[in-house]
Amino acid sequence: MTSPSGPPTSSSMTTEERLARLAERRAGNPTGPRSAATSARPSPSDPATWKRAKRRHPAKGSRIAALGLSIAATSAMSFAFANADAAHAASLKKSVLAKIRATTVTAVKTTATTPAATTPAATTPAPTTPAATATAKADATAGGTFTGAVSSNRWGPVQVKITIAAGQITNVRAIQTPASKPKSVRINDRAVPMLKSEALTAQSAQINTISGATYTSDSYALSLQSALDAASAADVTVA
Amino acid sequence: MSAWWYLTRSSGIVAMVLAVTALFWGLMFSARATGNRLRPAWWLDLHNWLGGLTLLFTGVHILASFADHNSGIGLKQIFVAGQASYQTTAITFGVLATYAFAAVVLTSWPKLRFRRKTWRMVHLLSLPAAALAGIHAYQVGSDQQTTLFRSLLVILVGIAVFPVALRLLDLATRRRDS
Repeated sequence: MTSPSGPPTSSSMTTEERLARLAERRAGNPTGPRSAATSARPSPSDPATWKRAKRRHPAKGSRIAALGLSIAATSAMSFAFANADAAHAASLKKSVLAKIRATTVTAVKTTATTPAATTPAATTPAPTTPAATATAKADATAGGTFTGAVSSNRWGPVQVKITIAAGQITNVRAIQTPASKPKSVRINDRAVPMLKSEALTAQSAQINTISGATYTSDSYALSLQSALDAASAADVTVA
Repeated sequence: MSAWWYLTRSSGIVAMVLAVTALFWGLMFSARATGNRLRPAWWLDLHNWLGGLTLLFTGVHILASFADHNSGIGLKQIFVAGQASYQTTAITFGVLATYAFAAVVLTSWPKLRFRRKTWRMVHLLSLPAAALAGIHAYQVGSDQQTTLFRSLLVILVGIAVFPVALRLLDLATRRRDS
């Protein structure tokens, strides 16, 4: 069955006609609507046709859009994460500072000159009285051990105890870390030694956040800062 | 605060979104559910490109985590599964997903050099790879507890499951008709 006028369309051709057309093409004698495309194929020996041989990308515009979107999303999220972390750290700091103000000094200071006083029992965190702070000031020159405020985050409390000797932080011990979930324990097993190392290197609370332990890092830094504040209040400073 | 860490997180999320999008494009294409508005060549071209971008952003994710000295990720942890000192299982999933994505993308470039069946088997690895990447993101991701991230994961699962179901229905229909 063929159409009454014009070139035969694929739907109007019989199977025999299609086979004949296919055979003609295979024999290198192309006819019909594809002949122009076939004759336009690049010749390896003709440099003028090489440009046409370049692979075409039907979705070129969409490709560029996808690449642009991906880069933009990565950049935007990086900035958003940075801002969110900064805001989170600021709010934590605010809450810890508020606690510090409320209790004046939440750390107990014991001097290095009295070895018995540096035992864990003697350094158990407890609200200090003005009298205790005054005693600390009197013995402050040789350093001492200071317990920071508890800084709680969504995973649990973090509290550190620092030892200062000769104007240097010589030891930082995490006496409380989030442990409500096995995952928290695993994360903190890795993060706490790194935070300690960061603190000993920095000799301040300006420490880098440990990847994968953001909240613990922030709380650790804040508790460390409160311990340093307590030391400072007792006239023990870190050089 | 390390900028590398932010880049690790963001590039990981973008890589996961790209992986699911590439999966969606490929499955819609193979299920012949691409409609008439856009040519199949367009779908296929974009699918290939999205696959390549997934691998690129996975590479950025890995490099950024390597550059972040606090991440605990070294060359051994990147290339060998089960070597991470923390979140071992989840990071192993990430390593395996990366290998699978790499195999899928790299075998698609010289596709014609492979037997169709072999290429197809390798290409199907993208499904478990996407699932592993999702688990990796959920378990290791620092943003796992945020509502936005969880919502994104749910949406991505939906986007991935829809074409898989469509493809399976398509296969079932074809078998029934043949």
